[in-house]
Amino acid sequence: MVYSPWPCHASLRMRTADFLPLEAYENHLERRRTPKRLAILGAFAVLCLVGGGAVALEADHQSGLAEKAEAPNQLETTAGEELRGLYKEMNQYVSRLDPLADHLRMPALGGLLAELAGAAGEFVQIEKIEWAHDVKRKGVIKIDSAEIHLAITALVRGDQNLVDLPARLVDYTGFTEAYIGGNTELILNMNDTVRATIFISGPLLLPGFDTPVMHSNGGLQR
Amino acid sequence: MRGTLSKKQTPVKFITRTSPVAVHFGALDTRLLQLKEGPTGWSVHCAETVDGSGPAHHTAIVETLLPRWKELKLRGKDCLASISGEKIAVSLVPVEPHNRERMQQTLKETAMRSVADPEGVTYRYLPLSDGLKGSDGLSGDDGINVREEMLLLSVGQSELRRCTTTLESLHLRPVSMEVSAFPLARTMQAMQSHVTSPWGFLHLGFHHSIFGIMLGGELRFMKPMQLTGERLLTTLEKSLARFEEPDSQAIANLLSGMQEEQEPVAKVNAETVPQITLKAAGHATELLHTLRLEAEALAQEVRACLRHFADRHRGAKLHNLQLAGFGAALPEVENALQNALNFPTTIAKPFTTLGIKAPESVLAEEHLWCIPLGLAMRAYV
Repeated sequence: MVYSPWPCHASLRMRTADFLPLEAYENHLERRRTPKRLAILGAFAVLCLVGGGAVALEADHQSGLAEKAEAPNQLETTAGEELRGLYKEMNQYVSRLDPLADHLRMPALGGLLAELAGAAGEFVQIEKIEWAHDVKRKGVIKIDSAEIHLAITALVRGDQNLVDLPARLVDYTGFTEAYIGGNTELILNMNDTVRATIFISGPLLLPGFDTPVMHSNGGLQR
Repeated sequence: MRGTLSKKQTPVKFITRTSPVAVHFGALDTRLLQLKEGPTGWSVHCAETVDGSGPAHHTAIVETLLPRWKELKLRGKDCLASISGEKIAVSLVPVEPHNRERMQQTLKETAMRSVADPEGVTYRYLPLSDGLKGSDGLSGDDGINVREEMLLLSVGQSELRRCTTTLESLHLRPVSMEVSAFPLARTMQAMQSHVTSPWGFLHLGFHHSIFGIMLGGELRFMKPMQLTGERLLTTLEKSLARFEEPDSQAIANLLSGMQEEQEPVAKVNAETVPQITLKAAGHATELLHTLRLEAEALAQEVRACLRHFADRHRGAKLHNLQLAGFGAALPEVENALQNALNFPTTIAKPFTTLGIKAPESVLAEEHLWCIPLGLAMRAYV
């Protein structure tokens, strides 16, 4: 048997006999209490206002930035006019500038040449460097293959040094082929020293190509 | 609500816009009610009746209501419920001054005896005359030696569990479970706030009836009565059947002096009421005569209660009697009871009296909505 020996509680108004615990009804009244609900509503309203205000401020800020970005800029306008004038002026020389532009688009060897003397090693004195692009075309526009050739004339002391020189240059330049030219000459008053020309070549990566391609007939023509 | 509610509870507007959900588990049906407050006053937000009686009616309620729960558009989960008086054992326990120490034990023993439930018994008690003196000075508890009376209400745990489970299955949160007499008294009190004398209410339910006396806004007396709505309905049906079918058998029975109670009577139910109302037209005098015996028996019971009440309240007399429940609106019952009791007896019409706007279906049977209304109004009156 379960007994609930509580007396009937005197409610706020007419007394009654409630078979559920008094706490349940008190909690119900508490949920309906005005101050608590108003406080919750007030807090929620303040939160909404603060959130709304923050959103409005951010929107204003973004709007200002967008307007600024869209507004005409005096410096930009002037620069644009100057640039347009420059283009107009350049157009007069376009026939002469196009080959120059083509040349300038080609890969440069400046970085390679700067350290070439060091890479050649001891007892090697570079006298002359010649270089050339060798491009084979298919038709007018399409390029079939392209190579770059370097001819390095140097005074080299020692036979073994001369024999090893092409390999060292290949290692340094990253080119694929190298050989010693046939016309070597002894140098007067310089014992064990010869003047030799080393030819090295490698694939040339031209603008617009993904991979460099060498000539199919074996590259250097000895 | 005009009158009591609006005058006393102006802050109601700021507390909430809807009342909690009121659910009354009646003997024949279960009624749900929710009120709402708008700029023009209170009105019925939802009123729903689910037919069903017997031990399985809790399940039937859930099965009926759950599929269309959203259609009811109830607001909030808090629910105030009431149990029909027939499920509750009501006892008046006198407590002698020299026996106050044993009061708890006495109440416990009485509660145990009054309800047989394998799951246990829950009881509540209410002092009916705990020294509260009404403004009219009618309270009679002057001396310390006056015998105190406790109204003891006991209910089986299984019934409480069934009701609670039903409400929870409907996604409601039960916060109160009262005996139907209290919300009924609350509704009547809201209607009679101007009455300072004692007044009574009689709930003529289908299977049970209860009589209560209110004084100073508090329940001062309550007792189950013998006369029920079912008995009244049976009497009326038999009477009307005799008017319509004066067959030879009936005449023979009448001549042979056979008592009506010995006749095989068809089982009556709530659905019989419209037919009886229809048949009753034009037979007011005969019906009054038929109901005379029943009304007189009830009047004797009421008079006994009044004598008891008057003894404890310096000869107080009842100002009026409000009728509610199934039997209240049966043809000529109101007049028969008034004739027998000799004081004003009226059928309660709380929605009309309090100015609560309600749909036609509710206004047509206001006396049956007194209990749900009292539940919904609990926080406001």
